[in-house]
Amino acid sequence: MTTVRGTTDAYAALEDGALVGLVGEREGLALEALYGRYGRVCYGLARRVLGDETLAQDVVQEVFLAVWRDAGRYDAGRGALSTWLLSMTHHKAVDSVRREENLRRRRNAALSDVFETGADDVDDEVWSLLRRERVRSALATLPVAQREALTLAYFGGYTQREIAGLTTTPLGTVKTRMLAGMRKLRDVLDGVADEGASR
Amino acid sequence: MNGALSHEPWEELAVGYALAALEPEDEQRFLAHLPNCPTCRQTVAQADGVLAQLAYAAEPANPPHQLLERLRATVGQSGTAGGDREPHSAAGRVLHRRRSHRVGRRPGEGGLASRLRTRGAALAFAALVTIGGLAGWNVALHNDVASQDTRASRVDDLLRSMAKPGAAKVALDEPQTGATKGFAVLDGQHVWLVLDGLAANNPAASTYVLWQKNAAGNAAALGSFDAAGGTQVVDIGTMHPQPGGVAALAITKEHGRAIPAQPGTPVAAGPVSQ
Repeated sequence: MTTVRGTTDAYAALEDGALVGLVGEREGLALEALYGRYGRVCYGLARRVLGDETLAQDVVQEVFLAVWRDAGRYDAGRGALSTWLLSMTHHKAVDSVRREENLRRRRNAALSDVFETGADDVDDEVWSLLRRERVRSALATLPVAQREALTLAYFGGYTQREIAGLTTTPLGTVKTRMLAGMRKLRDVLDGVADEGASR
Repeated sequence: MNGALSHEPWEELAVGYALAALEPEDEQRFLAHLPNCPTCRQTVAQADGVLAQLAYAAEPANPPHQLLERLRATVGQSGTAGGDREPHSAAGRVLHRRRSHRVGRRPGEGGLASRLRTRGAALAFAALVTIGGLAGWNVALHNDVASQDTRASRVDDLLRSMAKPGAAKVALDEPQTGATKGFAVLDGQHVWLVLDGLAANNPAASTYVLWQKNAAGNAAALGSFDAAGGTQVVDIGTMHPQPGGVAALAITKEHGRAIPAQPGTPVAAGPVSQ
């Protein structure tokens, strides 16, 4: 398996915004550099949601082609480039999984813990470990019901109504749990809340 | 307050929208509301930022090489070192001329403990696995043997620091976007940085500096380093805590090679949890 980082060396000094600007000027190598920076995390997310490597590849290709076609859509004032790419990846993966309509695979994907890395660089491994630890510690601060609602939606691709059915919970309660859980996660990840506390 | 309470249902929809979890009729209703509501636009943006971090719980993975080839073919780039056009940027032209293929890397077999060269490293990893519950890693090292030894040894030491009781792992986020640019690992005696996506600096003209700040806001430099871009582990060195403890860390990019007395504008920063 070839590392996706092999083409990024000459662009290492460029910030994300500058790189996207070059993509907007139709510089294909700049797109490759972006793919090198974020292809792994996008693919990992798509693979987790879809539970299918071929479909995940299709999603990642769609994401980076969308950047190629309209790099001007990225607005740095609204958030990080990684946020934009991962949001696109998630939405496309969820669209794809709903087309597939494999409910059992979706539930397994939502609740499973995947430890296989597939990376071929120890620095990348340590980075992935730290990021994963951080988010899992943050998730652990949530009440179980809030965590379940968020992970079923994010990794399982379920709608709020489907989650209400799966958990035998009123739809209004699911919506409330998602909002409360998201606010709590935001505060923990921003360092505002004590990461060790849980209700 | 009545206004806040009446808006809560919209914020619930905003979170559902960010999660792609709305039923079609709810999504339609919310999209009609969104252009006229800055509160909801902010809620969606904040939720997107949180969810981008959640994505890392999914474990990044290398896509197959053919995906890159498909991408290249679709955007009109050839798959060889020679492209059809000279890129516009200087970086692109340099890469275009000396492009090389790093092919033939294969994922290693066996777990990380079996690949690291020292018994001490294997024990440190085992401790980390026990503490973090992270069994079953399957990691490959670069085929470059010399750099592999150096990097494995450095990561050995970092893993030992991470496994020490009370070791702090501090996320360093870009202030404007919230993007995580690195983690600092403090084990009470030593400081490490694990960086990803911090733009490479020109070592002839600038340097990055890692700062500690106490609760009173007083800053002291922990050390300086050069960023290579991409992912890298940096050994900052021995930690000398300042009076008042460490409340926060920050990375600045300074002109020249000397560490200034006071930090410039942070490029990444984060609080130290107690």
